[in-house]
Amino acid sequence: MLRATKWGMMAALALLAAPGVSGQCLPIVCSLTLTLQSDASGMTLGGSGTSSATLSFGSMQAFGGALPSGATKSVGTTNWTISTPFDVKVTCSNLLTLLPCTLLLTPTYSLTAELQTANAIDTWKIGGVTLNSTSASTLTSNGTYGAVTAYTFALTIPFSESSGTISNQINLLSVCN
Amino acid sequence: MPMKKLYVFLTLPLFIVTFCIGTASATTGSATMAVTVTVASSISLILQTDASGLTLTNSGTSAVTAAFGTMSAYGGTVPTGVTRTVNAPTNWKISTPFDPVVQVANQTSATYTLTAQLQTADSTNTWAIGATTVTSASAATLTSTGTYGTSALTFSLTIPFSETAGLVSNTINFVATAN
Repeated sequence: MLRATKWGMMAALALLAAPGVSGQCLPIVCSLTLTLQSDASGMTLGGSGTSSATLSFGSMQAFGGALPSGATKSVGTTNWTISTPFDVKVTCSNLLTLLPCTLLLTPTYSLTAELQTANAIDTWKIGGVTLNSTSASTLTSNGTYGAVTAYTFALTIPFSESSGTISNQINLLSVCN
Repeated sequence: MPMKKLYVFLTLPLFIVTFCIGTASATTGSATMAVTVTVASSISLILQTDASGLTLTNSGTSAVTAAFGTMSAYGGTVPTGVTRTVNAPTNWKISTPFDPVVQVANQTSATYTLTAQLQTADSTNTWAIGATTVTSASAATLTSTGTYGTSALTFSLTIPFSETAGLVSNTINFVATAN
């Protein structure tokens, strides 16, 4: 029994002290889950609480018209912006139930966002960070696991743009630091 | 299998994973958010105080008030920004400039048409915007080639000498349409 305990402790120490583990996750040990959910003050997301959400503003116009609950509209001299908050949650699941994730990796993650399709007309932003389809933009480099973090999505539409449907997909990626 | 060998057998894979993999690949989580919005064209018309005119209440909105107060053909007080013209012995006129501001969004339009119509019939006084008489019968076109942005128009009210003293009030309804 004592020998079993000794070998078990040695295994645990190996995992804790191993230099190759610091700063990185062991893919066979930890997994990250990124989910999006409606913010209490924002629009209702389709698929809230999952990793595949939808944000549908419906028909909107610069002057007058209806405004969805939880959405904000601001009108400038040459464009107008619609915005709404939404929540991001990144959780770390340890496949070794005896050890918490934080013993195997740093307690923070980086979150990036990238547009699926190029859009040279409108301006897409999350948390004040402009998004594009050429490279991922960093929203945070020190996110806290398990915390529900609110971000504001904003879309700026120029007056010069013709009426019609604007659609795109935002790809978010969380990476453990 | 002896217990000691069993423990080594169980522990060894842990050492291999820890030391032999080296720098492990970063663990990631991903999500997508599909965004859609249908943009409709729209036009905005607001009225605001002209720099040389009578101060409008709620200037900069689509519902303003031009309150001249107590005025008389002869003597009395003339509000700042108001011009009084007496056409004895027939009538007298008060006038003041004001600024309509028209903007268009998400529509290809170079000009707009602006009309005005009295809310309530008034067969006694003459209401005009610029040189166009405004009645309640139908909307009168003030311009069919309006340039988007801020412009200046002059409101005038002609009151005959024969009209009894008292309150004169009405609402002028403006409509801007993108061409």
